[in-house]
Amino acid sequence: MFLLLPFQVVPDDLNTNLTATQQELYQGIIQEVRCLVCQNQSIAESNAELAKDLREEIFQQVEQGRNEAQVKSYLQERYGDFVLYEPSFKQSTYFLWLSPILILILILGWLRKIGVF
Amino acid sequence: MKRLLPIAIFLGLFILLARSLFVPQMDLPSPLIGKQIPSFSLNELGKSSTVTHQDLLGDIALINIWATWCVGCEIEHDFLVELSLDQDLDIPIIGINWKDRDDLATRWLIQKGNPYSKILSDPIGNTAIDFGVYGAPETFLIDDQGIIHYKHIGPMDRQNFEQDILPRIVALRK
Amino acid sequence: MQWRHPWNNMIPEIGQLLMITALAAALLQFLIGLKLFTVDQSLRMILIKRFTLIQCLSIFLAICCLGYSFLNDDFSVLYIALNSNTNLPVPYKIAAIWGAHEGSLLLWMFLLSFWGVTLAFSKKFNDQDKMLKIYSLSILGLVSLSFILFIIYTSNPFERIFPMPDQGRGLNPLLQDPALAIHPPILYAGYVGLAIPFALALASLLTPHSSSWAGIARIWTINSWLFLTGGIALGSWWAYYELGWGGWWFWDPVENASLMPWLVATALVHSLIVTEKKGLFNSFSTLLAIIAFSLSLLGTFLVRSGVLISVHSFASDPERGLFILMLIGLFTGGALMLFALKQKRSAPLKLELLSRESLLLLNNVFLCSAAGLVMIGTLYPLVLELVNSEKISVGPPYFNFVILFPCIPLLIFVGLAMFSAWNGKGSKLLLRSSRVALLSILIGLVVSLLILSYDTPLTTIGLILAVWTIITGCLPLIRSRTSSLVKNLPMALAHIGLGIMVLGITVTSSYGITFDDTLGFGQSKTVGEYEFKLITINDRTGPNYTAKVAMVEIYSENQKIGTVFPEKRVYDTTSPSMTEAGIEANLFRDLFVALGEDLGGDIWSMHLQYKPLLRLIWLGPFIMILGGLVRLFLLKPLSETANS
Repeated sequence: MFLLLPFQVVPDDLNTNLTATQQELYQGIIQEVRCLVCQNQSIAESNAELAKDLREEIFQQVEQGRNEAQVKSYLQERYGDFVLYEPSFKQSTYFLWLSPILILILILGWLRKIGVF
Repeated sequence: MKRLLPIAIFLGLFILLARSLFVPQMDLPSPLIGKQIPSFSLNELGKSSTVTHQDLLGDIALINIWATWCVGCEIEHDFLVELSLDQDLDIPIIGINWKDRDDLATRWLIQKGNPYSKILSDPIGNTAIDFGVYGAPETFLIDDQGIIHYKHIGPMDRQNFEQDILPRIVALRK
Repeated sequence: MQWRHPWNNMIPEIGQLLMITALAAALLQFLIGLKLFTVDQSLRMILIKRFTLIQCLSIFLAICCLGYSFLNDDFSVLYIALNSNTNLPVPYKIAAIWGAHEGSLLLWMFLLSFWGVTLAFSKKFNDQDKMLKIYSLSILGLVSLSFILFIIYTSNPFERIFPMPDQGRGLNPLLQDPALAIHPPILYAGYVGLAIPFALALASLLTPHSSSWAGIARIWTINSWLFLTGGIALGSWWAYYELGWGGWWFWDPVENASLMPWLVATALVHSLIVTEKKGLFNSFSTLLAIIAFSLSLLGTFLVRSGVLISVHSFASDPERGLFILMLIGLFTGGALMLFALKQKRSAPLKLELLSRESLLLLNNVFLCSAAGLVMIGTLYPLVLELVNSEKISVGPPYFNFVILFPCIPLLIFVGLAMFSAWNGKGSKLLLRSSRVALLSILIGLVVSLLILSYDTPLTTIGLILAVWTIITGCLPLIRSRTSSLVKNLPMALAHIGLGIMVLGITVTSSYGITFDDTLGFGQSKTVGEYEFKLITINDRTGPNYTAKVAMVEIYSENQKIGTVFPEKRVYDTTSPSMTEAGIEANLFRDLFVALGEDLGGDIWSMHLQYKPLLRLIWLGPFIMILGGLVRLFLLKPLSETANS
């Protein structure tokens, strides 16, 4: 768990210590995290308080060297699957994730049937 | 029959859309149900003493996340006070004051009455994130081991309390 | 309260009456087309044209009434009280006519009736096609009738309130922007335009002897395709600079709702070529025409019912959702029934693999599967919630991934199709295309490995496909004789535009850099090769907002290349602050600055972006539109001579 400091984080030491790679990681993550109080926006796009808090949290975690999977599972453990724009691959999403392949197979079958090849 | 395929697909879609129109959107299910409350160490409101998650164990309790800037909390507050005065029910309500100022929160409680047995202050909102809070007020029902059994999103009132929370408290006490 | 001429007080009621007139005209337009009365065919034609015109004029005048009341700040009209106030600048008072649900439906309705008029007075119909025209106008009459009823019953823009408020609530600040003011009319024109091929396809099912529906439908399909392309591109451009974060596509349900009809309309345009020229794929084209319009309706449903909550759904109401759903049931269900009953059995196809027919078919299938995947992703959370009580989100990571499955083969075949001939042999095609293919691969590899730095295999594939699409797009211009140059121009432009867009998407998403950082006055930050320096931040007062305006200088290799002024606006009405980005752009790169939070002590958080070739994402669609315009306006004489 995190060490929670009992004093207010000074906001302007935020966003200064990331390397270019970390910035890329941070930007990538915040675009894939849904803002729960907004209507279909990622926390990258939103100005809601919760979005700001989560951005700050993610920023600190990236700064501490956590990777994408760790940050995402941190969020998922607290807010559930809904918070991630990338649905996880599990029984109820098999159809969702396999649909492109399914459609390709259907197309091939159909084309064969009508005699294209 | 091949020509009926489009209609069949369409019918499926149509039923889906029609149902989604009439079934109310559900609240986000919390992944914390059935799990231990997250660990934390927070100051008590207006005091320098700290409270940790350990201190909440031992009682079936409600944890209520609130703030003075939150409209829903204002609606809910009278009911919380009513609940705290209910001798038969006798359930402690622990408040977590979320992203708020201590002076505002203290004044609010003096003006409106204090339903809480303990009030913790979470000015940065880190603990709220650990609780998966996204919109105050939110209320968690925990047992004496600190396991979360239910989460209510939005203002509680007599009706939804008796429908969703009270039966669970009764069951826990058996 | 100012004194008003009594006339003014009547205007909304006149608008109301005009809606009822339009309703009656649409009803008659529908009925005349049915074989209920034994009326002479030419009389029928005259009447149906008249009613189409009356319907359109009434709706147009109704919009004028609403506009007049907007300009006069008549807040006794509920819609105006909710969407305007006295401080709103005049152009936005006009844009506010379609700024919310009721008015936007009125606009929708006007565009529908307008396209109806263009069809009614079109000279593209031969003498044998009179019934085709009458039936399609009658079907359009039914569509209009239902939508006017919808407006009158659930979404009446002329509804009054009492007592009349002194001031209106004002227009949603998100909408107070030139691009977004014209975005809805353009997008709607595209959506609604698909009603014409829909009506023609159904009419063709009812008139089995007429074969010319495809050629006629193609013109209106290209027409609405143009508007859809323009509307989507404009919406993306708006989101880029107005939503304050510099993204240009979000896979938001509302965006998806416009992308699906666009994909199917693109397929329809191509399928109609084959149907028109070779008489093939008739049932495929018919089905696509039905699906395209149905997806327009689905889009309207998704936006208006609020089942998929989105940034864009400003109004949502289950009653409206129910009404639209009933319309979808009526039109899509009815059309598919008719299709099942009336569609002639076509002779079994004998297609040469890699002939032009096959390649067009293949591409249409890929376009449709792209639309299908977008639909699955958009609706899947709904299904899961109903079936499994599970809440998930399906967003950009999913769509960006699955869309590659149909799009990569699509781009390969788009290029191959340029070498193909009707009924051509595959072996020749591969021989002819191999040199260009090798050249594209070579250029793609050189660019991705040597000129730019290697990113991912996908980037390299994207670059190769972009080059391939652009070169093959140019081929018909290079190879053709001057006489057929104009004839090949639309196709060439559309494909070159596509390639350019792919190039832009690939480069921007692979090589773009985004930085969130804090800057104090006088401090600077380097992003890529560019240095952003915050000079100062000032206050500014606009007509109906106050703003913080930052001044940011941008340097490249110590040379100042520009100054941008990103803003944060607070409108007078109760709404969160709005970001106006500062953008320094040329064709090769965009430098984007958005102002974040005031952190105190003259330190602000800033959002900085370097996006190479971003402009190509909108330049591509622009070139596609040019292609469509050439087809519609320069080639008109050609297609008419072909018909006769």
